[in-house]
Amino acid sequence: MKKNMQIDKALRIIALSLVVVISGLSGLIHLAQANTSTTLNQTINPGSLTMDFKDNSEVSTTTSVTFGALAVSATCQQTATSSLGSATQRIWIDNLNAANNGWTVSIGAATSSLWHNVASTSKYDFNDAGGAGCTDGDADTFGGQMFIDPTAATIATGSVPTTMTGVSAGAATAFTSAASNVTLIQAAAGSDDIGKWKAYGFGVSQKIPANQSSNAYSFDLTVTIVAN
Amino acid sequence: MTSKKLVLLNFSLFLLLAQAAGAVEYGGIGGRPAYPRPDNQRTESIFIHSIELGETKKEGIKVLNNTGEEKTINLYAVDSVVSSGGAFSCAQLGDAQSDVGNWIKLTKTEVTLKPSTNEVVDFSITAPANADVGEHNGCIILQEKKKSAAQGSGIAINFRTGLRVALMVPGDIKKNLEIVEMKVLKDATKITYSPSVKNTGNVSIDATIKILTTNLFGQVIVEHGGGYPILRGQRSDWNFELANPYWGGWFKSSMFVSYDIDVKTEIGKSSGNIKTLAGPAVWFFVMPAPLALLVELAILVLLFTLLIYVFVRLNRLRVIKKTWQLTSVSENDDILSLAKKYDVDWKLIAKINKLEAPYTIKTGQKLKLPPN
Repeated sequence: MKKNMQIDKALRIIALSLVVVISGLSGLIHLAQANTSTTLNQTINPGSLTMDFKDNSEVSTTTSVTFGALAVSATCQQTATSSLGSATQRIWIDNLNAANNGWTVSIGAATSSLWHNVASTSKYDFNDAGGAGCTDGDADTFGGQMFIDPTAATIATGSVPTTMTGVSAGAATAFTSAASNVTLIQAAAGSDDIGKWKAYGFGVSQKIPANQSSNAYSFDLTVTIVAN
Repeated sequence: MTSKKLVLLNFSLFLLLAQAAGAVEYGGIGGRPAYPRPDNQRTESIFIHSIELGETKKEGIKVLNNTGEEKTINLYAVDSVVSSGGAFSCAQLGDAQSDVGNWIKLTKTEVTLKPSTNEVVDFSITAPANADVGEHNGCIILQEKKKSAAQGSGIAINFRTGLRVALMVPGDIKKNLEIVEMKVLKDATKITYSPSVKNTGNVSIDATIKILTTNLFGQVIVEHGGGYPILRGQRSDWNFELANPYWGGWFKSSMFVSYDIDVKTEIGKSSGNIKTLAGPAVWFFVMPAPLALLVELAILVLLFTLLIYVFVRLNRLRVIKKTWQLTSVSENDDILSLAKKYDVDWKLIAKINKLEAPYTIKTGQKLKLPPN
């Protein structure tokens, strides 16, 4: 009697274990039953070209760029260079077999965009080259110019075996009314069609016209990734 | 272990395995052409069409959410713009659209996707009757609908993905590239090559840029470049960097630009009819690193010293050949007494007259000796 109970218990253990194994495997593969052969099929669909800002755990997060406060000045002044992204908050780029002739990451704003305070009563420009960025020289009535330095950035692979082949930083430049987009990163046609990259530390600075009133000013920039 | 506990354990294991099987996640949100053409692989990445004036083409974009969260994505069409350096980019939503941005009509401008799902959004492209001949570019933008960073002060950064829409209005198509310049800039740590090319045609050109740097001996020490699209009417500039060669020296950089000149070949295809332009060669000098400079100077000094030594020796031999005369050896003369008599080193007498040890000479023997 005792022996029968033990056998019964063992059989139950074996049966339950088999259920677990078969159930788990069915989530991973499909088996084709055939008289003489079994074929395993796996389809991998191509993904997309994506870009996002993530923290060190690769969780999406928002980001902003801030400058140290400046005092009101009777002369034109330039902020210290701030940084877009850091070692713990980076731009992540995934090309999952979506861009097969390279891609470009650029940063920009609408041509008529302006720095503004909350009430939008005080403004200055981001893309006016007048007076070396200090005075108004374009269609609006505000001076001011923003500078972007991609050469200060760290651009690296985000996974193995992604390579840096054909991936390079754009040149340091300023926004102008004719050019409201600055290239941050360019990937040539020979760059990896499947790869992951990370980038941070793009230099950003702003020239502020003389006599700009004291306020907290904000601005919107958009980073775009596009397949070539 | 009781049967009940065993069942619970196995059920937990089942859930764990089944979960692991489905939890694979790739990338964020993005899109790709929904109806790529099998004859042009490039249509898997961007939209490419030839379109007559007034004609309408139907297309679709597959919007993907490859994240682990539900996402709401805005879609909109904009013109293309040129980013710094001549790169392709997309206009901002706030800018007026005057070209392809106005040609595109999307059937939806917002989609909400559960994790790991996708949806095809169809759209149409209609070329206006007054569009000029050549290539027109635009973008379809995908941007997550979310709040950007709070705008107290500073710059709020938004992110978006664009898909290029390249449309060709047929007619008198011109394909032509010109090399503008090739600059080589140096600083304390690196060399920067800055080639510049202008597209004077009315279609974009996929160009291959090559910069070859060779040393004084003609050996290629490094090659830079890559394949880049150059938009119609635009100038493109690039920067390629090379760390200063440790040993320094003179170098030459040459620039080459290649592209398919067949005007009937659309983007993404090749006719094999490739034209290569050769740009100006630039010579430049790189100072060696301090330690390398010391080593090179030491080698130069050694070589110079060796040259002087060889020159002096050769000159002495020349003088000897010209002035020494055959003289008979007198009785009681030996090589040492002759050396003393003529005030020369006995080894020189032995060398010139090819005497071997023990350097015995005989009376009446004729030897080449200096004049008295």
